[in-house]
Amino acid sequence: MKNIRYLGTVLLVVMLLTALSGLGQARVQIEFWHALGGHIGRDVLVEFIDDFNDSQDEVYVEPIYQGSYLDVLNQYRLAVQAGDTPNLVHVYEIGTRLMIDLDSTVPLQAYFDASDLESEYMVDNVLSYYTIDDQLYSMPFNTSNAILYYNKDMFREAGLDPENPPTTFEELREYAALMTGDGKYGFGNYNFGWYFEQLMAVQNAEYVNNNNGRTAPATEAVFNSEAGVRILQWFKDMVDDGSYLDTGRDGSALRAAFVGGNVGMRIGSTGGFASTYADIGDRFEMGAAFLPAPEGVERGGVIIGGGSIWMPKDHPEEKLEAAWKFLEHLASVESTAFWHVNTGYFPVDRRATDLPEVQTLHDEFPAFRTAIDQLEASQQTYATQGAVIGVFPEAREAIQEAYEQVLLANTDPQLALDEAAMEVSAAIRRYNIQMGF
Amino acid sequence: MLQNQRNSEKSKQLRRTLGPLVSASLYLAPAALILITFVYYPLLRSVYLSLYETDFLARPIFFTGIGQYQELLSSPRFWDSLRITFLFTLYTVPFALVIAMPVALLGNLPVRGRTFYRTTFICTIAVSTAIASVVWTWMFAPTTGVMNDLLRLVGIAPIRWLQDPRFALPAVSIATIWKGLGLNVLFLLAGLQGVSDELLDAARIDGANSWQSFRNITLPMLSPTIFFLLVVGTIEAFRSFAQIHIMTQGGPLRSTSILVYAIYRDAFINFRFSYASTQAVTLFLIILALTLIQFRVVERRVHYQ
Repeated sequence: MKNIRYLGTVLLVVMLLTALSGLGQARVQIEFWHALGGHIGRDVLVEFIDDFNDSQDEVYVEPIYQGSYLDVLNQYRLAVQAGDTPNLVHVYEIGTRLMIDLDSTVPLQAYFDASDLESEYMVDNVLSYYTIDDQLYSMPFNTSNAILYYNKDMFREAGLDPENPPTTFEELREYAALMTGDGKYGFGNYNFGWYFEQLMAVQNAEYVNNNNGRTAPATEAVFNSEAGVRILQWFKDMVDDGSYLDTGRDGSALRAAFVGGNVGMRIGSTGGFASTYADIGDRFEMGAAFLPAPEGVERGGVIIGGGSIWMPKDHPEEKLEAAWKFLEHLASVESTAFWHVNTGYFPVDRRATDLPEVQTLHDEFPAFRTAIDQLEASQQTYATQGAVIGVFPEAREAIQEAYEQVLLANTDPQLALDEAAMEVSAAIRRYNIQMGF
Repeated sequence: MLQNQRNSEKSKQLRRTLGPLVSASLYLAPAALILITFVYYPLLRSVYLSLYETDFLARPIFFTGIGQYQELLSSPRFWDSLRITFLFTLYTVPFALVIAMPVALLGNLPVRGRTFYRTTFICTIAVSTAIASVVWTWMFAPTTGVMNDLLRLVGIAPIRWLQDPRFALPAVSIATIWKGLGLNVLFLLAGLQGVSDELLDAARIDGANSWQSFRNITLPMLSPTIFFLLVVGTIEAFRSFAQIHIMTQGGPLRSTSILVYAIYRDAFINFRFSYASTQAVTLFLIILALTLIQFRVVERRVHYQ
């Protein structure tokens, strides 16, 4: 009995001491919600944040994984309702309009202007994506776009030149047929609406009206254009050729098939580069190429994807300052280089490519360079800046259903896209009513 | 004096009746609090929201009355979801029972290694649905999955389990049956302990073979357990979400879009909370009706001791 009381006293003293030492440091705690799962979230992000926390003693960032991008957005909406928001929240690019309309964060333009960050060195496409009505709303974070991954060994086996990947839809279809057979597929794909968005931008085609919703709130979906139809028709043709492996909505099954050497080419995010290389090991040589465009169509470019970080308001000034400090660090040359090397996401600051670690990487794996070249070769148009609509998750879902209609139910691509566009237009109208536009 | 005595008598009586009531309420309070917070309040809130148009923070904007219900009942997607939900229930509940029965009977035999055998089957309870779904997704993977390896082994062309609208629902059902097996086996085993040995011995002496004693003694004695599992299984099937969310997201071509998933989609992808609430209330009414029907129709054939 006595012992227990003694133990209790000791514990109390220890607790008091810990609390006091905490006070002494007076570090500002920052809660950061993010959507980075797997290796990137578990290892790369944690290492990055640990380094930041160790490098100074004013700010302490605590990363909290909230699940997929959609999960984060939903959790965040609940947090806004409950009045209990985190200090920083990571939102995917297509959540941008919704976040602006939620009006629950501090636009970052003023902070940006007052900081040492220099916009002239930042990649234009990235800044312009998150700049709406001349306001930078959020800090670009993990920035990627879609690129063509291919298996050079399979190219060689099929008698194709591994240094000359296809540049058009037609070429890719032809190559895919040549690589198909014996349980292998020339092309593999999974049903992911983002690829459709990218392939629209490649053709310089817009997704919704009013200049992709960038000059005025969109009122109608326009992806059921010739460009949209071409994409689905292209997929369908390859399915009919037997050269197309469709893994449904399962991205990891496609990844397994590609890494296992069963798929010759696939479209994928540049953010998955480093881990794909690691998974392949020395099983085969991987190459990367620009996304193909249909023959005779003028090339637009690619839209940046990935996510940015928003700073919720309604927190004391010191928290906002601390959160900004982390964002500023995140956008530094060194940080963007770190992210690029460890994941394949773009260095948001162009000066990162001059750093030795990045140069070494590009010499060893030219694919990382290809991704940057593809972004820089993109025209700056409303199509390649990407659409901003509040109902993007629903739109993506509608596109994914159109994809299934075409591939699994033999629906005519035009018909399937018309139906999807009708649905998305209705959703946009409902959204605009809800928002009072 | 007398008055006082009578009063104290009265208060004593009152205490005798009120006392248990108070203590009962205290015992019930924690459970009641949880039920009110997480079941009754959301239920009532759903009813309320279903009568309004909401914004994307789920705040009501304007009254629509039964408008959403009319929209729902005239939507082909709703009827399709309902059909898929019934199919899913039909694929999972009876099979899970039929497969669990022999497993439980074998597990009831007095042989060595019985505990190990029982544990093997019951352990599916300990696996979370989410984890089981991820594992099954790997097993159903088109090029690298073990299910297709098995098919190739017996010379059948691989099936695109989760990518083909014809196979997606059966595939999800297989995973669900596997997951539900443990609970069924556990309850049936428990039920089997209640089957009287005397009756079985008597039947054996009268010359009944094992099928006859199963059919005429074990099965009727198990019927309350089977009925319970049927009701609970049906409710569970109607409420399934995790396996759909992880394995197919309602696809391909909405072939696995059961009602709960449709609700999720409308609420958390499309941000139509009012329409989702309408469906949730409708789902509640359907499950209620089904359970009542089961109690009226099936329970008549249940033998209670």
